[in-house]
Amino acid sequence: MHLADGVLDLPTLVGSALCATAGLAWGVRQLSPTTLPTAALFAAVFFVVGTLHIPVGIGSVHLILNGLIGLLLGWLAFPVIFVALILQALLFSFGGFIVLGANTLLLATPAVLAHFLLRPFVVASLHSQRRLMLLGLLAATIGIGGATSIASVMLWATGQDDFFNLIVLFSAAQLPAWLIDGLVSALVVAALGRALPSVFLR
Amino acid sequence: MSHEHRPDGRLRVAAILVVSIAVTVIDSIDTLAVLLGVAALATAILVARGKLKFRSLYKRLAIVNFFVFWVWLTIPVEWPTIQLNDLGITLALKISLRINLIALSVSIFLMRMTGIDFARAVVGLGMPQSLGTLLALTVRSIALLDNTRSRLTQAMRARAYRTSASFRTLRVSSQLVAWLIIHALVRSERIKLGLAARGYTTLRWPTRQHSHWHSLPRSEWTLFVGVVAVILSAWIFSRLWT
Repeated sequence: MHLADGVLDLPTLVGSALCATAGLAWGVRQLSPTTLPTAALFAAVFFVVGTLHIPVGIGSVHLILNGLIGLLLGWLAFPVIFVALILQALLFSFGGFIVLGANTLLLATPAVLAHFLLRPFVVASLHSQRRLMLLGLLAATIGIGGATSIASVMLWATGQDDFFNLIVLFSAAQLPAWLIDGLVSALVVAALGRALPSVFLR
Repeated sequence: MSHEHRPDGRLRVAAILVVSIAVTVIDSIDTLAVLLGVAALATAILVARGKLKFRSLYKRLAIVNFFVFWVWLTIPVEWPTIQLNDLGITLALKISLRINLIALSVSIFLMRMTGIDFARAVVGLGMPQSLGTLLALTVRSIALLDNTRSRLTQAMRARAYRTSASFRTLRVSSQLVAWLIIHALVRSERIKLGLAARGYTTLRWPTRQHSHWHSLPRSEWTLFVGVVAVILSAWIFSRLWT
């Protein structure tokens, strides 16, 4: 889920860049020589996972997993997603450079939200696979739902009524992404809870 | 080629920023069309001289124009009566010109730049060193993880696994993602130990200092000044024309 360069107007771009900078500044404070390798490898996971395509009907959906990344990393999700988005823009033309602040904001804010809303429940549910799956599904719902809502607000701020149909189509197109992301996140959280529960206890 | 011999990409990244800001601010369709024409001409010359791969350019343009297709489907058309409105057509045209102009500019300036070159350039332009270091480490980690992913995918194929629209594909993909995360965590512990063993205690950018702006190659400055000149000329031209 990326907004392309050239769609948002200057005030929206500046506003979202300022908000993203605040989140990034807070996230960068969590970076230290001990957290840096983990953050880099998670940025790489986010980047590599973005290239995985799951067939849906005649098309395919690529994984986003911002909710899952947020669940695992908290505020570090801001620098991690920012860096992964830079590389996606540079190598694949997903998103863009001037819209980097907006894309970071729309993907990282729900990620951080998922962390603070769900992490305590995940820690308390490590013994139950069903609960972990439900929490994984919720993380993806917050991740994709939040990102879609923020993107819609940005598009609305730019084009108001002119962008109404675009917002509706953009939001509808995220439904398969939410479904796939939700199921994959549910299974991944359950698998991590089984194989490496310490990942949720850091 | 070691990073010591890589070209300094600061002016190229600065040029992209100038183009992106200008394109966002410029509201005249004529100016945007002139700029797109110049960018298309420059791209054609680079492709003809073999400095830009047509295949990657085509892929880049296909990706951005997928979004343009959505824009044309929604903004100028009034649903469900399917009537076109002039304001919507103008807006969709502006967005299409902007998106393609930025995509071509990125192709011209950054297509041959690696992630490490880009990280060096953005740190040189003022991005915090810790983010630059994170970017550089991420580029290296992507190679490691992509290698792991390829091995896992190969092993899955060897067991006759084929992706399809089924729950099995979802389950196998989830296992792949979970394994990548576990692999990343295990690897990060080893990297931490390695960094500690080498006495790495800061987040500073671990490469040479950037050279002074005035010592950058004349070709890079020509390119940057050329970009600014073209944007200003197109803007003045359109003001005079209207």
